[in-house]
Amino acid sequence: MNAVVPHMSLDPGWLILSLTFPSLGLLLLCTGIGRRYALACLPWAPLPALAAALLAPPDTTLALPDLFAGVMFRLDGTARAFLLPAALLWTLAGWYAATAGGLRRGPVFAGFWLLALSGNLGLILAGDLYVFYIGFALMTFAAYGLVVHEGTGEALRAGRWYLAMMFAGELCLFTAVALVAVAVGGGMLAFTAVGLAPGRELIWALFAFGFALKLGLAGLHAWLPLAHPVAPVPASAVLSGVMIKAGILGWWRVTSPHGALVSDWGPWLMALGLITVFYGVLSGLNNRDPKTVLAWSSVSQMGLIALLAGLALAEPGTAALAWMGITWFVMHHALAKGALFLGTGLFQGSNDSQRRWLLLLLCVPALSLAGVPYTSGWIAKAALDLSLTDSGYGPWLSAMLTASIAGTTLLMAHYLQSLWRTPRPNAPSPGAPWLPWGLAMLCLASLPWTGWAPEYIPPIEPSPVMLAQDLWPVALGLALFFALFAGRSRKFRWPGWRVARAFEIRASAVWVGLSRLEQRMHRWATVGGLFMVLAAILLSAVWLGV
Amino acid sequence: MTFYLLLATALFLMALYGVFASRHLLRRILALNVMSTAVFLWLVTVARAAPGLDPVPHAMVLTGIVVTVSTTAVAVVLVVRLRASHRRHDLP
Amino acid sequence: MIPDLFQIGPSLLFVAPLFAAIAAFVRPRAGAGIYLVSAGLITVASLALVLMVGTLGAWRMDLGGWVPPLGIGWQVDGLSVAMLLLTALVMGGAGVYRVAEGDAGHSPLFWPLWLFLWGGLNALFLSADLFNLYVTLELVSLAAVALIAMGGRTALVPAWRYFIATLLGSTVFLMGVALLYGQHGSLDMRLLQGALGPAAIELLASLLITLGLLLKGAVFPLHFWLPAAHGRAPSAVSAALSGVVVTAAFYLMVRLWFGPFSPMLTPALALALGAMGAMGILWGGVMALLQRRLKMLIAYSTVSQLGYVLLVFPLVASGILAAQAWHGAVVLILTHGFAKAALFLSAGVLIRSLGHDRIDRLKGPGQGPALAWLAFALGAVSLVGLPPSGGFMAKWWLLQSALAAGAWHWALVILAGSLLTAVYLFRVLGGPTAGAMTPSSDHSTRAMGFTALILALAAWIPGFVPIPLTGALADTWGMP
Repeated sequence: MNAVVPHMSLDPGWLILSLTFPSLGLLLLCTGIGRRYALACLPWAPLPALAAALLAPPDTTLALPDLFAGVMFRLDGTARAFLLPAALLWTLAGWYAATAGGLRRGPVFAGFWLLALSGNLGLILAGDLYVFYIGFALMTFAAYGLVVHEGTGEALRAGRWYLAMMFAGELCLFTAVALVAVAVGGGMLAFTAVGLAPGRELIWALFAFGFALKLGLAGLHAWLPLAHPVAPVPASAVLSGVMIKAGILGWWRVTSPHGALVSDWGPWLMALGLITVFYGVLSGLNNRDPKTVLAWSSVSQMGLIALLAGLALAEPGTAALAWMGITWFVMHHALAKGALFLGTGLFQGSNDSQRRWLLLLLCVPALSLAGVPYTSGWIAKAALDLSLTDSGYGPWLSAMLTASIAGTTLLMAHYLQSLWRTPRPNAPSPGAPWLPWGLAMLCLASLPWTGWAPEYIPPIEPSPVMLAQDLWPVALGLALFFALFAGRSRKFRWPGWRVARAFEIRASAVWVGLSRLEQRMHRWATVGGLFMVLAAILLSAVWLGV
Repeated sequence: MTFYLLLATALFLMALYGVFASRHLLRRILALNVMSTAVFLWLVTVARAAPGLDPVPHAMVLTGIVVTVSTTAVAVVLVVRLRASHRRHDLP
Repeated sequence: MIPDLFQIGPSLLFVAPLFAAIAAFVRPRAGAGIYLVSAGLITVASLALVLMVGTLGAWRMDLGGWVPPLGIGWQVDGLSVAMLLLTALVMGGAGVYRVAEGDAGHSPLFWPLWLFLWGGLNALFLSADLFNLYVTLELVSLAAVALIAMGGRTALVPAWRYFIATLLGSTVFLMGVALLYGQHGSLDMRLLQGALGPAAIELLASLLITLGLLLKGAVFPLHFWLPAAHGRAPSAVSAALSGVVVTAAFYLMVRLWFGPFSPMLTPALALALGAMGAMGILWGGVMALLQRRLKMLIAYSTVSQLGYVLLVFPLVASGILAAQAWHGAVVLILTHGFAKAALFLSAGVLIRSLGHDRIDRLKGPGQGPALAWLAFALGAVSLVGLPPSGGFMAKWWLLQSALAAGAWHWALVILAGSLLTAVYLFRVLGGPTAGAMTPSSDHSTRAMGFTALILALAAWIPGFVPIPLTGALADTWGMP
């Protein structure tokens, strides 16, 4: 049953440290001195995880067979690809939060932050489905505290959306995991067990729904552009840069071991991904708040990742290449989004001369996201292109990819413009966390060139032809921007994109009627009648049974 | 024998109706008392029917009477309190 | 020596609170002190019983050496010690809360009644004799009614309605007991086990007993008395009532229908009970959603959450993963008791510091003591059943059993209940977390908040310390 129970590992200390360090921070928060320096804990908490991602031997495993039906943590290749960017961005964003100042109610923020961090590390290092699910839920619901931290009406509305949609996803995942557990019938819930379960199509559908909600794929994205921007800057960075990717990791975990069984899902996922790519770009152009634009860009980029994941399913032959593309995307998008969000926060708190420099520097992650040659984004998109060409889906998909590059360029230009237009602050911000932001920029820029992250050495030798090929979509995007959007504010109108706004529970006729019925059920005469009816029902149930 | 059992059943059902139908607070308490009495009647009849004389039902009835007396006392105290605070002797 | 311990431990659980109650009645001024000493003793004894059953297995004892059918038997097994543990933590915690609350507006009769209630509950969970169960049910009802009535003028009518409902329930229960005695000449559950068959009078008896328990457990549609009684009582009393007293009826239903009555548990009856539970989950959830007062919301949540326990009948009857369903129900009773007590106690702290419990004026955890809100949030998360809380484990097992049996309707009810719970609790917790959070400056508020927090944490324990599906603590006769 436990097909993947590995050999007991050499060095589980890495995992123990990584997993317990955030909880130590939580314990520290229980003390008075810990609460005073609450935010200062944040950058330290993910450091062991970062070290593990860089230094731990391959397939480090921590098995706790006595806990529940057996619990396993494992740092395999898949986990490492997600752990490195996650730990890096959590560290940098935590550093930002610790030095930025101006965050109210530090201990509360730190508490939710550490909980979300624990959940995120737990789900990445999870060696079985059960642990993954618990980490996922912990991260998701702890992040609610980060979303509503500012306490404004807007934040609360976003929080309601976030919680409602995440809870729907949670119920789906709960059912799916329980179905797997039923199929396994006790013992550890290996990721591979999904394929053995009867009714696995339903299980995959439930997983797909839950994970697509987290990724914000088109149709299930309503919470994302609301929730990501209203959080404080460092929280936005981790939400958009790291936590969002739990969806793709989960999907990869439950589908990749099953190859041909799941290939039917591939084309649908690819189609949804493609729609999401363009939907995100067009919706982002509708907004003028720079953080909201960034959130829409995340939606769009997750579309690309979904496209890759779908491709890996549809064409099992390209799975290895697609997986490489995903790892690149995860790493590059985490760093780029982190740099952009943190930069946005810096920009909003700085004076005019600093602003000019910042804007210039922020062009680097923006262009990298767009996929300008010699940036990390370029390599990510090259991997995507390569696997598309391999798959035989024909040139039209490559054309779509080109269009998406142009679209992202357009969106990023729009972002920089909206950033430039944000009003200056009345008072200079108390702290200026240049260092974490600078480090994020440095990591991003050096990603394609240096070997600091061993798995991310560029796999493609650039040639002049490729260069020209990949430059023109960017130029097209810029041209479109200057032609259509520069200096003006232009809006697309989506027909009825705010349909489902009325989430508030209002006293309607139905509620009043139900309350009346309840009042009537409190009368003694009614109670007597109900009592007799109940007796009759039970009596007949007993009699019929015999 | 059967007569007493039937009587107990009839008393029980009448009391059940009384609990739900009566409005006056005291009547409700009385209905509950009649109901317990029906149960005691049943138990004593059962004891009588046993070969020899079964002491256990008698013990149960004695205990039951003690319980009923105390519950009735508490109920009456509640009624007094209710009358004092709500000035009503019938409640929905 | 050890055999003595087997006798003394359970007896202490009944005798100690009774004597303490008398002492507190005689010396009302020392009430709190007497309570604290005896509570420590009873809690230690309860924990010791849990450990003993966990290591040595279940046992029975005959009071005074009289053997049933003449004497009265007690049983100490997995299910009863689980309930004793629940009682000890909830009654102990809520009592400490009451001590911390101070003497203002405090009736001298509170401590005697409180200890009386505790003793009655302990005896109820230990009794293996049906008539003895009736007596303990009456003990518990008497104490509970008097405690509710301490809530002041507005609590009188709810107390009255509760009293009539619970007395009616007891008498109907007793009628069933009388019928059973007429047939079998014995009321000991162990002796009745296997002796009962589907004869007409036995069916009628089990039905009457069940009807009485349904009334006492406020199962939908007979829940009319519960919300007002639990909502209007003093907060510590509400916690005890919702956490332990109502669950006693569910405990007995589980105990009886999987014990002596099991030959009569037909699929149709299981379905009927499950349907009542399901309707209770949904109706109670919707009604909780519509409440304007925090304590009324929590009270309706009890109607909703305890409906889950009744799902155990159809799930076990389906025969697939029956042990999972059974454990799910037991863990649900435990975690619900802890979480609900935490909710009521933190609501009490909020009422004390804000002066009201109107939900629209609470506006989220920005007002009032942070500690109480933390306890409320932790309890709420467990009630909703988010991982890794204890409430999650309960729903996880119930859902697994429902899915394994292919019973999609029960699975959907379980999920919909979770959703409803999340929505109505979010109404309270979803407000701005920012605001004038007071760091609970005065001692008593802080102590009250702490007791609530400890109970909320207790609701999380089953999520981390798994209760074994097999093994000594699961040693309960009648378990499927």
